[in-house]
This record gives sequence, C-alpha cells and structure tokens, in this order.
Amino acid sequence: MAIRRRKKPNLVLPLSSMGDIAFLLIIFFMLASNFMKTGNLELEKPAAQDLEQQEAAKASIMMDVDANVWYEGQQVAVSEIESLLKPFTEKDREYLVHVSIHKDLLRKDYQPLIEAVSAAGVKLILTGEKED
Amino acid sequence: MKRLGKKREGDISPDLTSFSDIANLLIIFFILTTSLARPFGRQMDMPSSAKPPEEQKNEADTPTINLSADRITISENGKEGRELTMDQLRAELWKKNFPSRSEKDRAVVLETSDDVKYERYYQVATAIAAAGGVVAIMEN
Repeated sequence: MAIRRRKKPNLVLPLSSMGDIAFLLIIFFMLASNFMKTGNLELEKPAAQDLEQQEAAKASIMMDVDANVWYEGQQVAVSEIESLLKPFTEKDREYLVHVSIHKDLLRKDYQPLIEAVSAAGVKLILTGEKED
Repeated sequence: MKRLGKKREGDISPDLTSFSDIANLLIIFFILTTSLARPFGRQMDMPSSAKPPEEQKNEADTPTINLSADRITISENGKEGRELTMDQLRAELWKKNFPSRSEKDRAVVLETSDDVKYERYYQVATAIAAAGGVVAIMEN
C-alpha cells in the first residue's frame, strides 16, 4: 500500500493587511491627538471643584514652578504674550487659549500673565485638576 | 552583434514590505507623544484690563471678594466684609443668580493679597466663573 507523505502545514502568516491597519491607526492618532508640550516642564496644576472638561485649545501657555512662561513650547517673556496673541484674536474672536500655572506660585508671578492673556482678547481657559 | 533578447516581463509591483515597519514606528511615536485626554478647566470671562479699575470698583453693589492666604471676605453695598469659608462663598455666589443679570452687573471684584498662592486664587476665580460671574481683577 502506498503511503502518502503528509503535507507540511503552511506556517506563513498573512501580514499583507498589517500595513493597512497600521496606516489607519496613524490617521486616527493624527486626527485625535494633542501633542504633549508639558512633558519636560515642572508644573503642578491647581485643584478645584468647579471645573469642566474643555475642548482642545488653539494655543497653550504654561508657567512652570520657576515662573518661566512657555508659549506653544517656546520660552517667552510675559511682556511678549499680548503681542504674540493679538494677530490671532484679530482674525478670530473665539481664539481659545489654555493657560496652566503652577499651583504654588504667588500673585506677583501669575497675575501679570492672566492680565496679559485677557488683554489680548482671547477666550481664556484656566486649566486645573478636577477635585472630587 | 549583440543579440536583442526578448524583454522580460518586469515585475512592476513596488516592494512594500518595509512600509508596515515604518507605519509601526510612527504608531509607537504617536502613542508616546500624544495625550487623548481633554484637560479640565474653566473659561474665565474677564473684562479687558484697559478698563479703569475705579470704574469696576465704584459700582455701588458690585461684590468685592478680598482674598488672603487664610481668609476670604466678601463685601458689597458699602457694608463691612463678612468672612466666609470656601463652601459659603460658593453658596453666596450662586444666590446672586448672575446668569439672569446683564454683563455689567455680573462683575465680581477679586482683590488678592501678595501671599496668595495660585491654587487658592484659582479655586475662588473658578467658583465665581461657575456661578456665572465675571472676574474683575484689581490692578496695582
């Protein structure tokens, strides 16, 4: 009796669609993500009860623990903030700016920044952590 | 003489095997650098700082909150300031029903002493904004 040689199973995984799935994921991330600009900043946000989840900002301003001001990831002086924002608010009165300030800073540090941002006429959101 | 051979039917499909590797590297980059969470915060309605502070202050019935490192007091209608806790202040602000008022009558003057940390200022300012008030900052 003739014995048939057993056919070797084909172990090759079909990976041709992996690339397509990967590109779909990239498109998703590109549309849904906000890039982290605070990664290397020492900034602890204040906690408060009366907060709501906010939509993504057009620009973000941060003041770190040493009272350095960061506009879109670039270090700037408080005196420059108004002139940096004005060109955008002239075009769009609803220009949304998130301002994050380190929780332990004193008035001499945070007040000039808040005044400068509000003087530029933007829609100002002060960000913080939601207190339970 | 060189013999002209029959042109081979070329395999014109590009080699796409490395594309998925590149795509995976991009995915790893996006996963590490993005945050999908929306931040918490409060929109602050603030009158332009170009407005003279006297104009904001001299409104007879404009509530004025004096904030120091350990005390919160509220004064209005020329009366002496009353000391409040944070919860009492919140209740007091909600009683004023700011959303039903005109923008001019929604102003709350927030006077802050130099020793007030941002977190304390933030809690009071967001409480005013949540109640529908407009935070008027006193300039030095």
